[in-house]
Amino acid sequence: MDEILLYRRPMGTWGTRNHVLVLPLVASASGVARAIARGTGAAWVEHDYEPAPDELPENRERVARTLTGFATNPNVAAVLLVADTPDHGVLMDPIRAAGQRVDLVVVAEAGGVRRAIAQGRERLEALCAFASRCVREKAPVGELILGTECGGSDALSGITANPALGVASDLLVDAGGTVILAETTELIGAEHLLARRAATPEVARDIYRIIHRYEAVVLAHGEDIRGANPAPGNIEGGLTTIEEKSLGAAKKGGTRPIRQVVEYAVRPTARGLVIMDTPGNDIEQMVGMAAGGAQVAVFTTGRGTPTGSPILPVIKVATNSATAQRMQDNIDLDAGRILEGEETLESMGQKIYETILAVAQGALTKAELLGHREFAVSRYPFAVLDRASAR
Amino acid sequence: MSDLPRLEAVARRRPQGSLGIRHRLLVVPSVVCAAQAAHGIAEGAPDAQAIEHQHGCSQLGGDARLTEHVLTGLGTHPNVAGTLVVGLGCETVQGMVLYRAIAARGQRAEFVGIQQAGGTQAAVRAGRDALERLRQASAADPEVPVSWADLTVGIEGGWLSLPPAQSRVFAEVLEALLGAGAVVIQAVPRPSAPGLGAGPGEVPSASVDLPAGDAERLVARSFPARSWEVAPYAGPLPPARGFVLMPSPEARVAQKTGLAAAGAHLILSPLTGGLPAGSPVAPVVHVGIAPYARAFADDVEVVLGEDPPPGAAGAILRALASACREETVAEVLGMTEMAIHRIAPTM
Repeated sequence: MDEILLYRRPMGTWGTRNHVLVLPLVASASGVARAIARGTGAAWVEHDYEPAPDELPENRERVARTLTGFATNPNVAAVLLVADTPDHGVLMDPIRAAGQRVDLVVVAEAGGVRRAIAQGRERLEALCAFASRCVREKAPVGELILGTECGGSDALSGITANPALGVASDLLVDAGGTVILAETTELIGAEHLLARRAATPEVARDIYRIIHRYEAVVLAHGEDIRGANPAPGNIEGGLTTIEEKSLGAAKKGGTRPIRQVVEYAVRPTARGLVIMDTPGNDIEQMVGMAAGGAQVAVFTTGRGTPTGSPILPVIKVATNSATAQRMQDNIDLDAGRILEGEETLESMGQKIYETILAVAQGALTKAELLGHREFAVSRYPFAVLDRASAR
Repeated sequence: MSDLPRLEAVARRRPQGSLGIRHRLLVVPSVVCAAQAAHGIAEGAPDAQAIEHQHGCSQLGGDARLTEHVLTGLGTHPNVAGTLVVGLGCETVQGMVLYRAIAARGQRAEFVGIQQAGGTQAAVRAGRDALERLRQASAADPEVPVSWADLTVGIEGGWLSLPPAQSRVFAEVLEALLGAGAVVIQAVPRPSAPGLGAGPGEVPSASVDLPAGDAERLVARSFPARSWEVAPYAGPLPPARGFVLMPSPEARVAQKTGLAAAGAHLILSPLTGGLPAGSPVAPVVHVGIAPYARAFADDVEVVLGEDPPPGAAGAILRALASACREETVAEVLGMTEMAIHRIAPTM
């Protein structure tokens, strides 16, 4: 199948979903955003980002990039921004400039919370009416950007689900699509293997750079990455070291050349396999990939992580059948069948690929059915290094 | 000095002896991955409130401990009749550890693990059963009359930088509360928030000296006759009752969270910028500061003009008193934001 049915966006991109999003631009607007979206069917998020007077410009830029990228994700047909004061509504401009359908409610200008909710309801209705006129059209499979993620990993992650997802990643890359491999902290220890597959020496350098940078950040905070990673559940699941976790995690991206390394929440310009520099935190990673334009994600899990996304369909693949059965409300595919001899890596990979195409065209994932909509704003992590190098 | 209005309110006495001016069941996800299940558990139960936060995993040691510290404080708040901790199973801030910490402080508590229960829906079912047990167990908490001397009032730091005509009103409120025997926690915003008395890897400690910043000088000038003690962000409070300063981040939502986690029954929030915001456990009384807050007259309890009349402090005290008896505007509007202060980025 070379063509699938997707939503064409004025931004020149293609969406797998047709969400209308209510997005607070500061934490204190989260309650108003929630009240506007309540009962309307619109997607909405809450977060805890408040601009501070002493905020680093790098952090401000990272958050702005994340919120702008999320609002212009092709799965979003239209977006309603909610700000407290006019100066916090400035993201309206880049989002509109990107070609996205957008409106804004500024609570202080509306005349308070109650009036802002009423005004937001009206504006949201107009955006929903616009979205309801969007229809699916034929699009090349190569328009897909797949986000890959693993969370609650166990000793089988690197043996079943991750390499099977790697097979699916290769299939999508060969069809002209894009695959994002991310969670830099969980690539620590695998950098030499990834660098060997870099398409150019620059990409190889970038791979070493982002991985060493995260290692340095953790050390500079006077902490050991092993204190946070592997997490308690990983260890209980049989993972012993971050290197072991990483070697398994890197398999999600498949075997094709690595075309590009992009910063957090930046849309790749290359097709094929790319690496995005994200934290290992499951939610911040998913938000970063969504802000980078991913329209669908596959999330492998050993222990059973239920999280989804407010705007991306997230396909859950269990590494073992026990988790797949225990958490059948949450798990879409069981890669544990490879261990039972009922599937091979190749047949499971093919299944994952077919599921990606079906979900892209509208089939709902378990996380969507359960209403999972986790969101978090990732903060600029490298200030500690900037300070050290400035000294 | 303003005369304090009579409180004429009743509180519920908790088994550990504290008094609650609200009777809420709190659902606390130990990690962001459990937030959806926590939300599902509280949905449709008017007496239950789920906390929403984005933390609890892949945080460096100091932040993970601060998250646990704040969640423990909220989970043991006297306004909370019972706390249900929802964990995932593989997270850094382990739900079971958080549950034990909350139960160890004498709070009625229950625990549900999503991976243990077998998924989101199973966890929601188990969680609703657990809430029902908490509801029944707490129904017997006796109603007792409450006086100002029983209360701990948290005050955000926004008023410290107001012009004297307006800041004088807050100083008067504070003196009246202290004079009546209430505990007052004053949040003192510190621009260098990463300090907070905690380097990465340590829980903020009470032994920290405040820097001689403007805010501290103002506190000293406003209360020449007062001595105070310093508490760490989110508590615990010093054993002696009275005036407590709490170094806090500048973000107002994070100040509220710290005051609530330290056990403030009520929070007084001067609205000098941004939006009114509530707290999941403590009623928040907003004082809209003119000229900024004129647009928010419908969303605040009191508007404080540029040149407040002599009775302005009394109006604020009456609003605090009435918040002990009935819902605040923020509660009516369902505003229950919270933010946990972070020291380092997430890994």
